[in-house]
Amino acid sequence: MARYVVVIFLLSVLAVLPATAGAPPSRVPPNVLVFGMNIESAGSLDPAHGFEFETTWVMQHLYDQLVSLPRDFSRAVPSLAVSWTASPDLKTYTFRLRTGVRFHSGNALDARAVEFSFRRVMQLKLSPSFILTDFIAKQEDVIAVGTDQVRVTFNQAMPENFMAAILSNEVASIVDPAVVRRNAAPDDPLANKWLTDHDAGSGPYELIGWNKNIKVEMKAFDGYWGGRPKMGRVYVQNISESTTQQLALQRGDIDFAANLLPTQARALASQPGFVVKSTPTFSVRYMAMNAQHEPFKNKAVRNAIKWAIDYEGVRRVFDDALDTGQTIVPARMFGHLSDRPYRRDLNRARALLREGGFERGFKVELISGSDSPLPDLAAKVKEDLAQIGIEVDIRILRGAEVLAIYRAQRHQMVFGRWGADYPDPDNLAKAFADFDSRVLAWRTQWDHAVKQTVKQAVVERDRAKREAMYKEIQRIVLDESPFVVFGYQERLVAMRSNVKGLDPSPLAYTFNFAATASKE
Amino acid sequence: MWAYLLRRALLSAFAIFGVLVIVFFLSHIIPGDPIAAILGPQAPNDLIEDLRRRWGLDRPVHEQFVRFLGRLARGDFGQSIATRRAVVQDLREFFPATIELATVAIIFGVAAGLSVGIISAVAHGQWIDHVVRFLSLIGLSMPVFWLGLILLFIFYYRLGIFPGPGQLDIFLPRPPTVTGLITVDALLARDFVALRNALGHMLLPAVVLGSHALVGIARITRASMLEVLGQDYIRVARAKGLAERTVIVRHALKNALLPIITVIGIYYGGLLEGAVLTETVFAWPGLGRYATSAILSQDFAAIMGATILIALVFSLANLAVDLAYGVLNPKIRYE
Amino acid sequence: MASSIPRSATSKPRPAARAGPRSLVWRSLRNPLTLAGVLIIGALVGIALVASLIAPADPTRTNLEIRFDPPTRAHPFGTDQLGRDILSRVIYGTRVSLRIAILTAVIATTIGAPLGIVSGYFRGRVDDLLMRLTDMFMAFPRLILAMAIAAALRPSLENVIIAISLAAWPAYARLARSVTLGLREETFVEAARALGAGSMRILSRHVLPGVLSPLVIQISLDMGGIILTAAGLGFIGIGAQPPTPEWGVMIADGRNYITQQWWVSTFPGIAIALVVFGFNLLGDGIRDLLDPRLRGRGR
Repeated sequence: MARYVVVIFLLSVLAVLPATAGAPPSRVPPNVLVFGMNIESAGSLDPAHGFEFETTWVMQHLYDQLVSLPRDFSRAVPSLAVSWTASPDLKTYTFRLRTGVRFHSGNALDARAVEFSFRRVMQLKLSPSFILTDFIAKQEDVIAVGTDQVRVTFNQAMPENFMAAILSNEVASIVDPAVVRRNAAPDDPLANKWLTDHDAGSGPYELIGWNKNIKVEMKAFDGYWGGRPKMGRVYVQNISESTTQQLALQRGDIDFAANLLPTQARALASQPGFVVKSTPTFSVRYMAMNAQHEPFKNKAVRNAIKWAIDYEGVRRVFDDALDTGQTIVPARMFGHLSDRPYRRDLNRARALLREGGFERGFKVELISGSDSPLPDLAAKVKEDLAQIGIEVDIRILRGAEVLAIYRAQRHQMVFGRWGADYPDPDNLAKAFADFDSRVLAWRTQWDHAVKQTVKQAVVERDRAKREAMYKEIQRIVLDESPFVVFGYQERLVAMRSNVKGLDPSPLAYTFNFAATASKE
Repeated sequence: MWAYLLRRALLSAFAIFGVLVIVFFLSHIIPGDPIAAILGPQAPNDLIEDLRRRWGLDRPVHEQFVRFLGRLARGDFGQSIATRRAVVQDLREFFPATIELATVAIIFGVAAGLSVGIISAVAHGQWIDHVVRFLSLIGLSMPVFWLGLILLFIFYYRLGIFPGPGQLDIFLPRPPTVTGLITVDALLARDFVALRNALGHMLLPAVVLGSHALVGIARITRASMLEVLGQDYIRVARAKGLAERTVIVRHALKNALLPIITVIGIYYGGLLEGAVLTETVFAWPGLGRYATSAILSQDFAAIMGATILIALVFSLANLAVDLAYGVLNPKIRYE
Repeated sequence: MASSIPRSATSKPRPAARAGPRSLVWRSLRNPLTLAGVLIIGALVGIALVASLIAPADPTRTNLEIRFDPPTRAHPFGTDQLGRDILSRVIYGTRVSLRIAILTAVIATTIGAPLGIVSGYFRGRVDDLLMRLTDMFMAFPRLILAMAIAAALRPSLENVIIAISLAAWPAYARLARSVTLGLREETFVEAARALGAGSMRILSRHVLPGVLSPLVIQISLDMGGIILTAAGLGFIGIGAQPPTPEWGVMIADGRNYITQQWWVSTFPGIAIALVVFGFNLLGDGIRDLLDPRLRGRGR
């Protein structure tokens, strides 16, 4: 009797099992590259719209820009523009375009396309448009001259590396005007909706398809002006869990894992057949104290906290994936100041508290996001500050809520992270030190005269003088601001050892450019 | 009976509407700014305000609700802030994935649960029975997400038996979408490679999801069978000399089915709950995950869309249970 | 949900059940499963009470030098990502879980039972209103409703309790109502009414005791589910704040490290499973004890 039933049971289980039994483990074919990434926040593949790291990363395979950046971000490298001249006041650049470049559609890429693309961004006024509109006053300042030259007039003097920083950004991608017009709709004349998941570019890869939250599929563009890329197909598979990425990499289901945690990356580094690469990014991890909240009005109190943090311990909370540095301009960026005056010195911290009139300590609220390792960091900071009598009340909130409170200037202490929008210290200086630009300094209510220096530094044409100005800005921020900088986020990626040509770079979106990849 | 059904359906509809109201106002009192979150910490203020105006999020809540109802009547659930496209489209994509998973899970749960329950009932009092009862209780006690993590670790990582993440191997082109259910679409297109592949990917999450249902069904099967086996007509059948097999299947099981079927329906609805956690662990692109991330990121339109759908499915499942119960047991009088 | 064990058709007739609560309790304790349940829950309560005495370390003290230490003599359950002793955190976690379970049960019953009793006794429009209200709440899987409520409030332990209570009370209200419906037709209630007893008196003296025992059964059967729901909420991230040692949050903490540092997620999971298991056994036992002939339909 029992046998009969057992048979039913086994049969029902076996009915489902053969689906896996005997199925070969998926091996990635040699001319295909599979990336495992968390692309859940990918919003739109329209260069005028997409601003998240994941989308800009995909976009750089589909689109080209006038210029690109070398590894040291020091100058402009020709891309769609082969050469350029600048006016004496460095406000106007005239670019000569490469001839014979075609879009994926087959249409020629000419000066009118460049003019169209820039003006389109400025008309749509979406998230990333500020990168252009901050420096180009009106649409007419981008104008086609003939079929192969484009003149761009900026609203301030632009040293070459700064110009490159702006014009190499994904927002300055060149789109195919004919394709855009063909897919326009009455309520969407610039085809923003269509471009969300289609491509109108000229880049080394063409978009085959994008299933939201599942995968992105791209194939090599035969007619690419830079030569057909070696990898015929590129897939980006959405794997949101870093553990799953690690497992998939180890099983051979993917070639490259982009979101590994340091412990996982270290585990892979010790295994043969895998290569782990780390790079510091231009992403600053910091804590902001609200300068209008009572104890923090006093500079001595702010600095007391800076002397109470166990910076080494903080690095360990980040699993050592934090590049050391205490200034707002990240390491490896032009203008970085390597001073590290602060370390854990409880006596000094207590003395400063006394000086500020808070000898007996105080209670304060710390707001943190919920992404790892922020809750752990909050617990660590709480412990550190308890040693000098400051009682920290931790609130872990969703990102949306943290941002809302921060922007409304209602925080007391908050964890933040600022990734450079373009590789120039101006971006960091504006954000942290210029109250008038209404970014971080404004949010944390720190209005300091150093903002004048920030405004002057961006138009300074002499490179050495400019560097000195940024270093001065950083010193003031170190000494007087309500920002505690923990360090610069390191990025860890892992790939199979037969994958060559993928090298992370500090700028979030230019690393791991599949066009240069190959497999042995 | 139709009158009863109609009345129940109307009541459910009313309940769902009430739920809508509650959830709408709930989600709007959540502190936080989803627009700012989506645009990121570095987006300039005026851009955020602009987008907020475009989405109509700067209007008072009751006005937003009225607009929401108006759009709902036209079948428009609005746009998800996160995916930037129509919620209806999102739901159409993610809902079938959950249905597929839940269906495979319940099939597994029923097949295994029935078998285990029958064995346990027939072997009542012997060691098998005790072992099964013990294991069932343990299975019921484990958090479903923990079970998922452990099984993933053992079977995917250590043993390498199960295929990787996602619904399909990344190279396999998805069969043309007819129903949205990969398995059905594959069958329709006679794409048996994709069918096998999809089932393989579904196996582990379905087992995890169905584990609670398995245990529950096993328990109710056992209890129901035991009760039926104690009845007189069973003794008569045995006395007549019928083979044990016939006794069990033809007489006992048939009569024991009623409460079992009721429970199955209940569990199918309850799978929605489990789906939320299971889909998170396995990164399965389904409704549960969609609802979770919508709630966590205050994606209003998505929350409402997912809410309505979940409530609908849950109510339908309960309605089906009542209907089945009424059909199978004509002795029941409705309130 | 399942009925109790009926004897098989061929066994001897059962000896007459002896009356008296003490012998009933004694009899149920002889059932090994119920006994196990009592022992487990007893241990849970005991550990929660003496946590500060038996825990080897402070559950919130971080020590980054020894983060991710595997289980050793010094740290039998290993350490987590901040170097905290997991054994101590699991021990203190008993307090958190117990608090959630008890408070949720109390709040949900306090809301649900009176509403259900009043509704079932007086019927009419009040009854209709309550039925519609519970319909609304029950149109939803419990976890999802709790998620929505918990997300609307600040994530914290207290709000988890509130959220689950709000998701759980309708079931108790319905139960109380259906029992009351049956009771109000009983002769002793009619007799009391005939004698001129006021409603309040009838409700408290006659109805309430009758509702109590099914409620207690339901609660004890639900306890396990409540703890699982709370753990689920913690896992998703809408739970207790750090550094509170809530087991669901601890599992979530360790989920990225499951391949290398498996102990961070494993031990809290075992703790949850054990506690829920104990509550399930206890619940079964209480049900067998209080209503041996009860044949539930499940909902």
